Amino acid sequence: MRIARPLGSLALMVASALSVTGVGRAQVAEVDVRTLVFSEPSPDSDMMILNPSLRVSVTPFDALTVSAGYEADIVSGASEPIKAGPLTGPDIVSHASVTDLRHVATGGVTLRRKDTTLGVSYGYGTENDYRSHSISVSGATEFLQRNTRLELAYSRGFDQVCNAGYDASLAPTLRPRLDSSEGCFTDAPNRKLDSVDLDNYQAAWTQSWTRVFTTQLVATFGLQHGFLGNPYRAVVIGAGGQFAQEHHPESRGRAAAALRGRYFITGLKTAVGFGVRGYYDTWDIISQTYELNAERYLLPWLRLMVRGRYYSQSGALFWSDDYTGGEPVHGPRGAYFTGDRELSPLNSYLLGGRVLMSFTGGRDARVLGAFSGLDLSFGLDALKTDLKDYTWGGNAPTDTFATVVTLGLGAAF
Amino acid sequence: MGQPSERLTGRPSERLTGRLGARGGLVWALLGVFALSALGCATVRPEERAVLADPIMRFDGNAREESARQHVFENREGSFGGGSVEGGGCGCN
Repeated sequence: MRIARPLGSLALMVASALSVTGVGRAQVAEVDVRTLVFSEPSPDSDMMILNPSLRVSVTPFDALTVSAGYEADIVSGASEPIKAGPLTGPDIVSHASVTDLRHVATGGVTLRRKDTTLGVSYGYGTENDYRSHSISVSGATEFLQRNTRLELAYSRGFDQVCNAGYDASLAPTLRPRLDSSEGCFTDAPNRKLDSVDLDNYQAAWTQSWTRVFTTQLVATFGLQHGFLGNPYRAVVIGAGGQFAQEHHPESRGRAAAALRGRYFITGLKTAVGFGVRGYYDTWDIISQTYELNAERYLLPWLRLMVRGRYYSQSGALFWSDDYTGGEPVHGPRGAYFTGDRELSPLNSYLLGGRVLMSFTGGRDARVLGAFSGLDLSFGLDALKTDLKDYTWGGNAPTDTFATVVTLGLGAAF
Repeated sequence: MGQPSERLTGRPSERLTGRLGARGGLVWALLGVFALSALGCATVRPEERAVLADPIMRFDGNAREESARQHVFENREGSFGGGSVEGGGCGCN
């Protein structure tokens, strides 16, 4: 019953969009199919994620676009349910198989009037142990002969995560981890639901400076409140090997600012892009990101992009690779404990590229006899992570290299 | 277990503004200079926008693919936000 209403609304939205197409009133209908394949090979903890997605949008009038989408995350691999550090040794580290399937359905409406755009969208996600509702609104306007564009966006998430059915008054050091998703979202006495509230605010300023140079400044603020850990993961907190479910603070404020630019080098017929991002949150993670890319037309319908990215972050205030080393219990590493590698200090390096084939037709010259436009893309990225302080019981993790493959097909009618 | 660190409790918005407040003036000043310079001198006439209107100059040239890649980063890193949004050269609704 809980999911009937949002899915029903989405189905109505899709039906409305397709009915508009059917009577031939739509000026443009677009279908976009994509798949992302994330592969992290490792003899101990391999991970594979498939992320297929479909999006349909219809623009019956210049002022209105209605869209609906679906995507899935198909996860298979292994993870470490109990995190130990070098003092407790590798013998306590175990690896458990992980399989999961997440469905996400989205629907949205975009309204345009002259130089102003307003958008509203809704998304619903469900998996065995997690459910989410999200609402997003955005507004954008262009002025100064469209050299300047400002955009504001806000999204709110109402999520629920399944957890082991312990009482909230139980001391964090005694809390058991969730051993499986069996019984989640039922009345099972050994399961409960914890909420996660998400608020994200974003402002963006895009500016054209010359006929070949443009920049974009983006600021993002996020507030999270609720159960912010992984319910399946436990951390060794006693010298004798005692462990408890990882325990994170219930609130997190996050802020990021990014500046990126694109410059077209006329002599090389190549667009080069750069990006710099700084990030800070109230868990004391500070990060910096640098990106470079270059893209050019090899043929009028064929584009090639190469890109690189460097990322570096500090660890969270309460991060430790081993909580049995005598940290004061009244300090952050005593009050909280985590086995999350994303909260440890790390660097990552990415190299990759993308090939995009884009064919544009017209009323009298349809692509393949049917489409007004057709895009095909293939992307490949290699991601290497350097974990500075994270170990599996003192041993370096083996799952620090990943490949990301993206395949895309977009068609406009 | 002891009491949570004061740094990690309370309203996140208050902690955030508290930490950023010391440098807030400089940030706003820089943004102001940037904005004034944009208003004062940056004018690309519509007939000069051929390069800017090309998809190769758009920040969200392949928005859904980029969104999926960002999702990967967010699941492997501790930070988020600052992603590209619509806009860039085009201005061609």
